Amino acid sequence: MSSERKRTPADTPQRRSAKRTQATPSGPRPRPRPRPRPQRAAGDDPESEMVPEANWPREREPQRRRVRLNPQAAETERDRPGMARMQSRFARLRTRRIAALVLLAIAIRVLVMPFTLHFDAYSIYSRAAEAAYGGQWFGFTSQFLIQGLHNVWLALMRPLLPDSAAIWSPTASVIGVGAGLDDYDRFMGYEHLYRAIFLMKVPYVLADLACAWVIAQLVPRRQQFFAMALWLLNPLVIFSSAIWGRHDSIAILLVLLSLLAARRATDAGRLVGLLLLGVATLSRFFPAVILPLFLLAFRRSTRQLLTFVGLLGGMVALVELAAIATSGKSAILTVLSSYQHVEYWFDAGILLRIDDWLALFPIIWLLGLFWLLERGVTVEEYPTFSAAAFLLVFAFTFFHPHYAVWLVPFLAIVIPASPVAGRLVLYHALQIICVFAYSLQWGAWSSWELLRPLLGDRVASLPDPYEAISGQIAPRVFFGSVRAGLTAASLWMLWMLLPRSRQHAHLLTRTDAAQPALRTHTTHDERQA
Amino acid sequence: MHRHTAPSPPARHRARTRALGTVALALLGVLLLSGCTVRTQGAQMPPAHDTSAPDWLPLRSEVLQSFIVAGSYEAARGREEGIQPAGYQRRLDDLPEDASGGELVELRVGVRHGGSGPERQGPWDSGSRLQLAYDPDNDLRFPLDDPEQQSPADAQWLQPDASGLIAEQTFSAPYAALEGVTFALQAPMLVSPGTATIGPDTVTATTLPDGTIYAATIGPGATVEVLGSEGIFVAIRLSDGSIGYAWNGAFANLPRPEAAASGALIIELLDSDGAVIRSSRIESGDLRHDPRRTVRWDNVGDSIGRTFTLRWRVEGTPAIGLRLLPDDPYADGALQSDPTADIAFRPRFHIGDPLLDIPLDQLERDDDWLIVRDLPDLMPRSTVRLTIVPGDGPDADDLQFAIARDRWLYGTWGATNADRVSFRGALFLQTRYERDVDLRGTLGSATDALRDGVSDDAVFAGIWLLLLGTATVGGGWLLVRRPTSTATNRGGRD
Repeated sequence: MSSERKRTPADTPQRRSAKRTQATPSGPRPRPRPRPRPQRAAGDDPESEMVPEANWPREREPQRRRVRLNPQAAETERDRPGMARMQSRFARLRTRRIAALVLLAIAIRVLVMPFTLHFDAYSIYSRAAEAAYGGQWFGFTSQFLIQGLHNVWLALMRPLLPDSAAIWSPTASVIGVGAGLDDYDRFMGYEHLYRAIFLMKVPYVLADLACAWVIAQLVPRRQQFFAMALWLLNPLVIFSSAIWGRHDSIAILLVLLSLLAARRATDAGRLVGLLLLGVATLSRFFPAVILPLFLLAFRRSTRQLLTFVGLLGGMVALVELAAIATSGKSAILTVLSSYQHVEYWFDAGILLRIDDWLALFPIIWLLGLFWLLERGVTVEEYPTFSAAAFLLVFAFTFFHPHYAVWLVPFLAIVIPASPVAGRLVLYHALQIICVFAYSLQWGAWSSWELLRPLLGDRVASLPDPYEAISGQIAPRVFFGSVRAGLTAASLWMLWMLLPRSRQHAHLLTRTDAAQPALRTHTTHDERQA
Repeated sequence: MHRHTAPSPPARHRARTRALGTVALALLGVLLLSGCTVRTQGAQMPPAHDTSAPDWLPLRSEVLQSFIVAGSYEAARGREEGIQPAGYQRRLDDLPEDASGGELVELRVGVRHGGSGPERQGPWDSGSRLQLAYDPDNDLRFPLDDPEQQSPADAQWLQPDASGLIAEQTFSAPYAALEGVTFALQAPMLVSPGTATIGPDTVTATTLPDGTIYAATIGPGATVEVLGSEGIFVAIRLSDGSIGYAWNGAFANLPRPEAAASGALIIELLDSDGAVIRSSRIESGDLRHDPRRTVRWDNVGDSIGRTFTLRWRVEGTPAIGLRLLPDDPYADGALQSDPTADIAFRPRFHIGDPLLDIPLDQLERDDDWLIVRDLPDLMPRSTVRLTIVPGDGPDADDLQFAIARDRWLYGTWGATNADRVSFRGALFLQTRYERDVDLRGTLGSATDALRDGVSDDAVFAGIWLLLLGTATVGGGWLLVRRPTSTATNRGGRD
């Protein structure tokens, strides 16, 4: 059993160092750490893999530093003169770069936030207006939780929007009717339009930043900058939250928080993680594809698995009952019957006869799930398999462009840890290009129309992308090519990730007593890598 | 002690070069955006051509298909799922000029040879022709035929003033050969009790003079007893003895009114200088209540693009009126006495020779599409009719045309034969256009919007600038700031 498995969360760096020495009797005795020095020696590489993370400022993250520690490297480096100064310097450099990255990400978002918007965002806030202005807090049963969040936020920002009662659509919550274009035009004529749009997007952008923070907590310190940059500067993320104005970042934040909580390897942590993931799934349906993976990875026993499933069922029942009690309608049936995004997962397939339909994505996803049931999933593998699940979703299903943000969170976690990170980033860049080209099949609706707050009716002057493409090439050929590129890149990334899933393991938690075999096997593979 | 040194000269130089490069690029972008227009090409994929499989019908008679010449169907359609021709043309009026314009550069029509042998690919000898002509009768820009204006129940009527003038309405002629005008005429007390004959179409009588509740159906040519009139409805005795009402336009003849209006209605066409260039006169005996009254005159050959004024006035004291549309549905002209309203009218144009008449056999082909490239200059937003005229050559019987079954071009226009019998679908048709995109105007709109935004909400503008500036400057400072040098620190407490 490795020394790493003996550590406990309560260890301080000093005590951990002593324990490490005890666990490896042949190693050198610990010495008092030299005082961090600010200067940097010539030729130092701030990204050097030799940086011992144990020497980072202890007040920052003592627990995570402990669990990620590579004891052998640390002990070797501790003998090197001047290393502590270098470490301190690298830590400051890294912190500064991360701070610069976050500020840059904020600047990009602030720059575009007031001037772009999609009609979808207006619709959900118009539904929220029924609560914020009319006191009808439970009028819209579909997307019960996320709508509630918008209701509260609009109620909070309402005092900042003078004379705004008339700018929202009165029919937005009527299923099959929705917000009208005349309503939207009235909103576009609002005197404080840019302020309103900015405030509407604030929760999404804050969720973006919070996601970056959680991602940073989930990866080793030396990968934090890379992982955060993959998220914060990712065009898909900026497009979804700050440009389109969609709330997917909030659900993604819940998914990431669930992982952060569950990796603590305590029952309470797992339970909190499960609840957060359940709430995320009830907010947005995408996490449904990783729920079974979570259960497989974080359950400690069959009994606990059953308990988790029961809890999830209880959450669904609670939301369902709340929806029926408040509006008299079933939230689940409303979503299943009127929410076309659910049907998208069943689009590709083969028709046998009448309603006998072999749906491609569900079959492949279930096959993967059965494989994982037989094989087992470790905590460390969970992000990789989750990334794979989302790659599968976007490889085989029709989707609206802003949903592509779901590709990013787990890729941002696993790519930096991959030995082929550079190639994966290139493939992800190809994905991004394909997603944006794919989005042009909606014409101006998913492109120039986003600039309506800035250009007004002038957006019609700009050439409709769909017509422009049609003028040069058959649309089926163009979008077929783009789709082929997206699907191929996604499947190839999945192929690159899965065989290495154990090499990506870096969410080092305490040894899981319920999974000793898997845990030992993983650690062995990590060492091999 | 930590001290921060200034950037070294090479670093400063690099930073300055970068900054200058960025500024130069930004300036170049602004210059490009503000100084030029961009030619763009697009293809319209109207609802007639979509993923549905075509129905191939033999080309036995003329096939007529109307469509609208415009720069971008998608831009006009905007966020609406479907759009009717009248709405489409109205939306085109609302678009910026560069978006609603556009030059038709290519036309693709779904026609093929039905044979299965090599003749399908080789040259055809069918003698068929393809024609293109303006179709002003289908142009729905004028409010008389606008479906949204069809509410006679609450119609408003404009009466003559003391001088006898009823109305002066300006309009812009979108076609050549202006030859008349159709308008809605109100003439009360148009019938007296007696006997009348139903016209060539079957008539539905209703229980009340509002056209709502069905009472009976009367066949064409039937003779009925007229009891009187209410508005545009004639009260008649039905076969069961009850009283029904039928629209007065449905009758071939009606008993003359006991008290006919005296005087005459005069319709004059004035050019932009105010000179009367055409005039028509309707004597009092012919002044019947008619929602589609048409007068014609010698056509004005060069009317296309010109602005005219229509003047209606009366001589004598006929109690007549013209239908008034109070919501100004016609954007290109106005009622002189009330610019916020319009008269319900529609100019009529003479349909002359086709603008294009070419042998179908000589056209370029791409699979099952015929491609027409040398198209005449067509007025943007005009309605054009494409006609396929079958020939009598050896291959004529084998030619087939494609119909999108039960789908209509721009909502309502289906393909018909020369007798206006529908083929129950629209002809497979693609139009390709070119137009200029006014980048300077677009940039100007953005600048105006920003300026208005700042003036309307200065508080938010300040906060936004502060946030943006703080994040940008802070991030930039963190990136650019050089790390503390070893030499500097030697002088410190270490």
